[in-house]
Amino acid sequence: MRLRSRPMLAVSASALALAVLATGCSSNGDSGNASGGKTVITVEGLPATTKPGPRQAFLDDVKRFEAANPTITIKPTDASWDAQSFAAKLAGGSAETVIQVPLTEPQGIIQRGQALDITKQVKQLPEYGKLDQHVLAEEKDTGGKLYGLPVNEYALGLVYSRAVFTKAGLDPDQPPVTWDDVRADAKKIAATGAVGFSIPTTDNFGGWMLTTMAYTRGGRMEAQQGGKWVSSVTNDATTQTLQWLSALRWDDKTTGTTSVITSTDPVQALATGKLGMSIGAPNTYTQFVTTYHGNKDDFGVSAMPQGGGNATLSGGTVAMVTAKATQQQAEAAVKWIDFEYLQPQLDPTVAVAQAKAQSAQEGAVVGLPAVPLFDQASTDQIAAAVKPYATVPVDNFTKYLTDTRKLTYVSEPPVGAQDLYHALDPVVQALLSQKNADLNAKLASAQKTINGTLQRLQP
Amino acid sequence: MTENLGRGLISSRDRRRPAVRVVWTAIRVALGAALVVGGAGPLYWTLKGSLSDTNQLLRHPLALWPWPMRAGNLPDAWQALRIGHFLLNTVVLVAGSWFVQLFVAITAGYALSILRPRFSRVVHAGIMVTLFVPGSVSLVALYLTVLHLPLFGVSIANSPLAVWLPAGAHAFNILIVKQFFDGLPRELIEAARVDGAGPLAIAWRIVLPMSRPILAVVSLFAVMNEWKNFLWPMVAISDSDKQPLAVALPKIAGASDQALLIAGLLIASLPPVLLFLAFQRQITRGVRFTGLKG
Amino acid sequence: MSSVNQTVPLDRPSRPVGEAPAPRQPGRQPGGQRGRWRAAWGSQRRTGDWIGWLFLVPVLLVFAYFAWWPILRGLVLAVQQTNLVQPARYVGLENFQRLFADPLLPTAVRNTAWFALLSLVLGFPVPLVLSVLMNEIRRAAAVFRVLVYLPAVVPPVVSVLLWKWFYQPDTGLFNQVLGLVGLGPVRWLDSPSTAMVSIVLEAIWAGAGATVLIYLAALSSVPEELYEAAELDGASIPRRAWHVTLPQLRGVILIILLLQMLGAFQLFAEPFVFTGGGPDNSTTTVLLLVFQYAFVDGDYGGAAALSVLLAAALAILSAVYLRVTRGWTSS
Repeated sequence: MRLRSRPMLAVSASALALAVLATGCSSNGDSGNASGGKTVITVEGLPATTKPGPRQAFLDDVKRFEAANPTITIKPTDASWDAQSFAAKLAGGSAETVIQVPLTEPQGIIQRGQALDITKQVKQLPEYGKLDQHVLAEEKDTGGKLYGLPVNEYALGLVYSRAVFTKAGLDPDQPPVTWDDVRADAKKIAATGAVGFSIPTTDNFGGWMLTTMAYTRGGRMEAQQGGKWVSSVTNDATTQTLQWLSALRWDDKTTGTTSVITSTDPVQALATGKLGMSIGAPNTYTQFVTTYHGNKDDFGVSAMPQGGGNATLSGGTVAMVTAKATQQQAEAAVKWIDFEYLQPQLDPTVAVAQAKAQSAQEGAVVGLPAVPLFDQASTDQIAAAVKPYATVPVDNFTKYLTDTRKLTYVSEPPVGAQDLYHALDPVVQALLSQKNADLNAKLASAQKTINGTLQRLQP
Repeated sequence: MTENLGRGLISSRDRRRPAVRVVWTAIRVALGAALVVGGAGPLYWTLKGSLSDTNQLLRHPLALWPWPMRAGNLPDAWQALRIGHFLLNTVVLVAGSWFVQLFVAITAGYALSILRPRFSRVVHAGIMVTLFVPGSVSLVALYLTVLHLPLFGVSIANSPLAVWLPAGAHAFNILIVKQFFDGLPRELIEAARVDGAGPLAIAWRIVLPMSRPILAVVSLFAVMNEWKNFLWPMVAISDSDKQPLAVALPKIAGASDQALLIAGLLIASLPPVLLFLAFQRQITRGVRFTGLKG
Repeated sequence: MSSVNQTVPLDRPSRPVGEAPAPRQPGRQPGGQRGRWRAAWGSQRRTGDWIGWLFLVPVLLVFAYFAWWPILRGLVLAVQQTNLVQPARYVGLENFQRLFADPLLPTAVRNTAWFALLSLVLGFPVPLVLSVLMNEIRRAAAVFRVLVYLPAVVPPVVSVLLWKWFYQPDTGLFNQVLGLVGLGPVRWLDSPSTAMVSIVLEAIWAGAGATVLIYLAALSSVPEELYEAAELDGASIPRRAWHVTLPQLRGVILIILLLQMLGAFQLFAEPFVFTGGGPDNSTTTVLLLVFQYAFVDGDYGGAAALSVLLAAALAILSAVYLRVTRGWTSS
């Protein structure tokens, strides 16, 4: 009968448990080096499904690249860098072969051994000599080895709604150039019922904005002391910035009433005509138009307003190859970075071909101004060549370009920039949420937190 | 569970008194209204919101009826926000966790309650100890463990296994299954054993068929709790493409149209709500039985 | 209440559900019988043991890997520093020193305690009153039960995103309703003084249903005679509630309070999704700090050290609570 002991089944049950564990191993081993003689690499940078046009344009680029390099297969993902999950993703080995990170990250990644040395592969690129050495310095370790390539650079400016400006009786072609101007214009905008000026305050954006505004008044957030970097966030420029913002929030009441503001809130408000001014890079345009359906002629951007520092924060995106990649993968990765990001900024023919292909897609964004990765002459040449295919109102960006050139580009804080920003978020939130917040005490407390982190990061 | 039809705080004599009747009716109506507004209201609002236009939502948040109606939100959310994709991720995680939890609880409960090999009390004690260590406390160490499984030396992070397998280490399930097995009539088992049935046959033919109620309770709570899980899946599965809906939603929230987002919220809550409505008797009974909190 | 479920059996003597045979309480099961069972298996004792351990393999594997090892690993990690790439190195008490120097720690502890206090003071009476009233409902009781438990079924992240929308300062539902009766606007999540209260309100809404069901179960076992005796003594309904119902619920109430407290100290999803800990760190909880240390700053050692402190605090809290209340439960 069936009433017989069948321990074998129990054995197979436990074996199943083990097998499940074992499959876990194999399924997560670094996948796809060579399938059928092809080198497979995964790359970040694919625009999200919510932006179908730019997404298709990117996929077309991938096809053209694969056609030109038949031994390479590209698997694009629409994952994007995010402070919360990045470290875990990289440590867990699930990061793509080619990752794109903000300029704040390369030094930490290099120090932790999470990226591959690509000096050899990059030196094989014909245009290696033309790359801006100042830009490359941020992706080198102390021994001069190169771990990444810049894919774009930006300089922050004032982003504003031209429609709101017009409605408030302001000239959209004469945006404010000093913080006093911003304050005065914010008042006029607030009189129409819109919010005058607003900046994001969460996910490190608050600290980032504060840092940028401090730069324009001559402040710096970190200083070297005995060979190590320490926090200098309690400088006068930061304090002045906080006082200025506090005056807008509590005296003028031109910043709205919210204090927990995500990075997308101001863009959405600009696009829907509820906000006059914020801070951002020219590529804020993409979100403004594609995600929030703002009218593209309403988007305005100008050089960063100044308070005596004559500077703006410049950041950028760096492509790096993760440490687990093979040499073949690294070579393929560098080729891809060169194809997708570097060539279009150097070679007018390539740039025009890319611009042509991209502008055919609905909702494509072509013609945004860029900070030169090579030299100003090449950048100007490219801009002129691409202009016929531009989908953006290029003339609205001219003032940003000419005025920003006159400013000093200041990089982000050299060590633990994201941690520094993170510690400053609450200061900005306190300012916006409590009328008589003791901002000096908040800054001092942030300084203490930052110095603790900086100490840990520079053993 | 049978309805408690006996008397409670208020006796039938009380209920006949006019003053009590008036006050009690008022309380009952107020209670009913409060529960409808508080319990069903937000869900109804989500339903309404997912059928409305964003501008309409912003302008008239209090409107009771979606007008003008916009039925396109649900398919749009499904497509543009890839709700369907993330929903499938959730289903995969929930199904696997359910299976692992049930499998571990049954085998462990059977061994600890019926077979009782020597020294199994040590195992029992070891399992019970973990009841007193809140899961969130070993979050970081658990993460390092799935990144690098001791002895195997591999990473299961970022694969469903990282959610499935730790779900099995659920002391409470094992405890209640074991307690249930403890209460089964030994005579039956004894008789089968005399008939020559081995441990596995006894488990399969006697213990499991009699345990359907407890397995149903464990299953329902396994499914509902996994559906709600947030922190661990977010940590264990860093690839945003493989994350479940609960983890994906807050990220989506920042960068999407509000009406679409609310449609997404509706889709995320429908399965557990429908499951609950279908099995509400078993679930409310299960809560009473186990004192489980969700 | 929190994303982490702490579960403890309430119906201590296991009472099987449905048509299952009458239970035999483990406590009352005579030791002799247990012995007899073992003896009956005895002729094949060795095989019995072998098979028994075979059945224990799955549980041993998952507990070894995902419960016991992480607990030990956590203790060791607290005195280590690792960046997950290079091997971990011992740093002694450095992690704890850095922890105590961080001005955020006292803030997080204060916030967590504040949340626990608020959720007990505001959140404790709600399910109790609801369940006492619902226990008197005779018609459509099932509908009431469904309604009260419905919020507990909605995934927490969904509830939080929904409430975030309700809390919007201008267009949110709550300020609109308050506006109708000439109140507000309240700043809800946007002000450090109200952000935590707002989170507590949502947490109560989401958590009350499950507690109500537990209370209802306890209420159904209150002996009718007690009420009858009280009524004969001429006690009014509120007096009966105070002198009969509450004392009868004492045991359940004490356990629920402990569970709520443990849950409150592990608050994560709500502040994480609502405010990210802001504004001005007013909703940064201890667990949020653990998360930030580990997964934002990459300071796994510091995160483990903080976890160890949290575990110790919870253990001490539970022990003190159980000791203090031990005398009260015997009834």
